[in-house]
Amino acid sequence: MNLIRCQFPTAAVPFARFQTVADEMTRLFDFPFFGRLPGAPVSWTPAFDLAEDQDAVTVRAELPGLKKDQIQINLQDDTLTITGERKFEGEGQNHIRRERGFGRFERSIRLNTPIDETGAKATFEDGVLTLVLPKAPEAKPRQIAIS
Amino acid sequence: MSTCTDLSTSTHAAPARQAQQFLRPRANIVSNEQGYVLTLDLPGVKRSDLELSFENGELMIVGRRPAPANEATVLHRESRVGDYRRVFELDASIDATAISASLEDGVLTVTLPKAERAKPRKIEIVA
Repeated sequence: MNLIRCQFPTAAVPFARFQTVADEMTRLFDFPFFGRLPGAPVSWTPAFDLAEDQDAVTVRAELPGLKKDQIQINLQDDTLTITGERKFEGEGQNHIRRERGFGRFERSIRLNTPIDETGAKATFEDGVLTLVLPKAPEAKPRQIAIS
Repeated sequence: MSTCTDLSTSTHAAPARQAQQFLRPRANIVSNEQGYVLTLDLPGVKRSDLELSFENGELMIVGRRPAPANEATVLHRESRVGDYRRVFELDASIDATAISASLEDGVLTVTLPKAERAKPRKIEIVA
């Protein structure tokens, strides 16, 4: 199974690593020396997980701050595409720290298994999208009885 | 691995005294006349599994998440497994008794108002 990587690569990659070791304690007033400049926009690549059992393929995405209706899920042939946008709500405000990313994301997943589209189920809870895609009957393992 | 994964959350180097490794949630801090507004990404954390405490000028946020079920075979993983924890050192101007918080769709918003005496004041010229 193939997960096509993010379409909007982030620019600030080297800094992210630095910041992880920089401080356990975050001071409200520190100049974010190891972070990004407070005014610089942070692009966003939500984390996606993909799992499979004998009945279904499950996609899980961490999309904190989104509303249900801001997420679009599209299944066409063998390609699942999930798009959405996290709107930046802090325009014009004085940010003294800015680590959370905002903006559009689009992820495509190529499914190698035929899916029973009518049985697909999506839930969104606590900022986590869970998409369960039941495998089509022909893709499920079959046990053959010995007569 | 591609370069664009692995950025969403990061584990900080846990001190030796700490048995559990925590993820460090991403945070934004906005400053305004009333005080500060802190927002943190805590996907998967329910209200009942969130702990906020304030002691000695430190605001500690701990968000716990259920461990993922193991029955399925993981084909691809970008999310980090584990609980969140982050500590903020607050300025003395913040009125700790007036801190309020709300959790919605995996985003925690903490409002940290300044104490009255710390707010900017306009002084009228009388004569």
